[in-house]
Amino acid sequence: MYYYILGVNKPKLFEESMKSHEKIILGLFFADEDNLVFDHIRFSENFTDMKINDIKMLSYKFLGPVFLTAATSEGENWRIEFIEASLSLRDSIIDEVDVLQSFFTLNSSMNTQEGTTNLFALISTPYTEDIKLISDEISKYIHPSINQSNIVNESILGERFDFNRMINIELERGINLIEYSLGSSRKAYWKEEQRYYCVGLIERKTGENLRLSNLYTFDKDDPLRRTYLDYIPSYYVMSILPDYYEHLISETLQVYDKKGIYPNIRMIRLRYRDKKVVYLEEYLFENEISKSYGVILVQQYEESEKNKKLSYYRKNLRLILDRNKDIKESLNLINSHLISERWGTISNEDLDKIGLLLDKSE
Amino acid sequence: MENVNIEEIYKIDKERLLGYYNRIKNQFKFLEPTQIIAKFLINRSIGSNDVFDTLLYFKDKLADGKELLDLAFEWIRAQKIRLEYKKYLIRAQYPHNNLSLAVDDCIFKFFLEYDKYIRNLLKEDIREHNLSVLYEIFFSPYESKNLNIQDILERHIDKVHTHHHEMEKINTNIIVLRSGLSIIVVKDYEDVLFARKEEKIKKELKFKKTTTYEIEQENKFEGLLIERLIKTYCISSKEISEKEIENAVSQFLSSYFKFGVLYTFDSFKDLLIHNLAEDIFSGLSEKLKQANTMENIKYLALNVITIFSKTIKSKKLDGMAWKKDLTPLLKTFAVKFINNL
Repeated sequence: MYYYILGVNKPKLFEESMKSHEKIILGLFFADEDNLVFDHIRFSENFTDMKINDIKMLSYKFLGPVFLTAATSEGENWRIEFIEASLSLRDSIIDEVDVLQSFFTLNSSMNTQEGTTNLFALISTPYTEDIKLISDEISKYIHPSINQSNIVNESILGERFDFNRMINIELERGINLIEYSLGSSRKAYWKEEQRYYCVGLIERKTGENLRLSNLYTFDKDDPLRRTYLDYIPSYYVMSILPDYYEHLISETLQVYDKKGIYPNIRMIRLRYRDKKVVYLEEYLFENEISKSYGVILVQQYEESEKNKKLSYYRKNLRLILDRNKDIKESLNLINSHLISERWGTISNEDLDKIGLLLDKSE
Repeated sequence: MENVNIEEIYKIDKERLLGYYNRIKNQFKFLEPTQIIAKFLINRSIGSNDVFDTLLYFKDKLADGKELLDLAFEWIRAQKIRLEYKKYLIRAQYPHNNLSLAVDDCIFKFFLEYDKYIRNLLKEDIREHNLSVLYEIFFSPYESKNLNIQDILERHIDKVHTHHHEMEKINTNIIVLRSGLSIIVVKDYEDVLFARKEEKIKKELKFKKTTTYEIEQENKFEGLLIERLIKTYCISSKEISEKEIENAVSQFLSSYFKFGVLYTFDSFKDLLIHNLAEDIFSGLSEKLKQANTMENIKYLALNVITIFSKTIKSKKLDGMAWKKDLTPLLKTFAVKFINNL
């Protein structure tokens, strides 16, 4: 009875649960205040040592921006809670039956007396997963269990306490629990619909020899720019996240030999205490070029008609892409305060400019 | 909100239960309130004579505004949760029969929210081992006869610690849940596995009977739990309680002896020694197999059975009677064997 509430329809059959490690991507990374990273990653036994080394580096690459947001936001320790990419099959000669369908990461951060700990899960499977169920497992069971085991074992074992052993056991238990939950189809959970205010639009184009990304936001002298700076990690961080993670996900798919599948960032969720930011993106693949528009949204902090639901932004992003609207018209659809001044987000020089002019606090 | 959910999901008819409690109260006016609640629970098939001691133990540990009757109602609710959890477990298929996964999965799905709920019943500063004790008592099968609070406390008091940071209690609820429930989940899942194995054998036999020719069922002792227990011990060196050993021995004997069928001692003696040695041997690690050969184990079992044969009065008994007589004997044998590994 209770498991219906938790979103599990039925226990899965053994055959269903026995997912080959070759068909899924599954990793669990734990990092503490000192940025020490411990991981437990599933991979095929047939992988070469070089490939395994590449896989082992994934934890650092995925956790990097988690630490970066902490480092760049002057005390405001923003967390990247969730990243989701949609996957598209662009190679018709692929004959793999279990093509990956979902790709997402989840991060749980907890403050303990020893400092903050992060538990990060990297998941890609051939199913549309019940993300809430997995998120609850991570944040309510696996992560607390690691922190509690640490306290209890240290107190019982004293000098004999072996942190490495403890963390490896807990990560293995955790990854087993997550793997067992995979394959439950996604469910619609009841939750209060939030409204958001758009503070920026990111336009991106990627192709074989093309990599372009621009940010559109308020005028640098508009007081709104300064006001909303308090509600996001920074314009700099928000500008680099979509491109950084999309490339990282693409790299991950290649490391795992998932050829012919291409990722497009769909959603990134960030949080700092009660502040929430959502980055929402839609894409169109045409003439070998992937074109996308994404909005940087801040959860409503005051009642206003300008705050809209996520579905509103999603619908308008699709409209902009499908009708090929010009940028002025597009910005007007999203938020009339955004201007068509373009801020490049690829080169270091352009990003420095964003840091200097858009992230200044006075 | 979450607390309301537990009461909504696992509903008990408090009004009806209260009516029944009042009837008992009126019937046994001469009894103390705790005795009346104990009687009420026993009549509801919850626990046995140990209920009274359990109620007494928790009496002064209840939160302000809570009474023993609330604890009794929660005990009844716990059995309802156990029923739902068992239904789930019966259908669960954990890869490689991973028992740790079974524990984690069941705790996450059934007991994590419950933990938050039931803590409202007890004082905030209660020591954590009391909770793991409560979980063991609440979620043990209702037919469990050995739920002596002092025995259970003895097992938990040194293992489950209460941790503080300055004056504040540190939340270690998941570790406490594991301490209280791991043995129960593992035992329940092993029972499920055993039942599945039996069902599979039955089906195979039925299939063979209907499709080919009739084969007489091979009657043998099957110590699935004994084998698993020894395997677990060899891998993790985890201490195995005598209760677990007793359960394993009991399952081993039940696999052969049937109620209402008469057996002579000589008809099963050799088979019992052979099967017992086989199951113990197959549970041993490769290293231990070198030190304990099949023949050695058979020899040890033979000695015990020979001594036993000299004490028996009747050589022909009902299956259940043999099981009753042989359980303590084989339990002692298994305990000694494991201790000497």
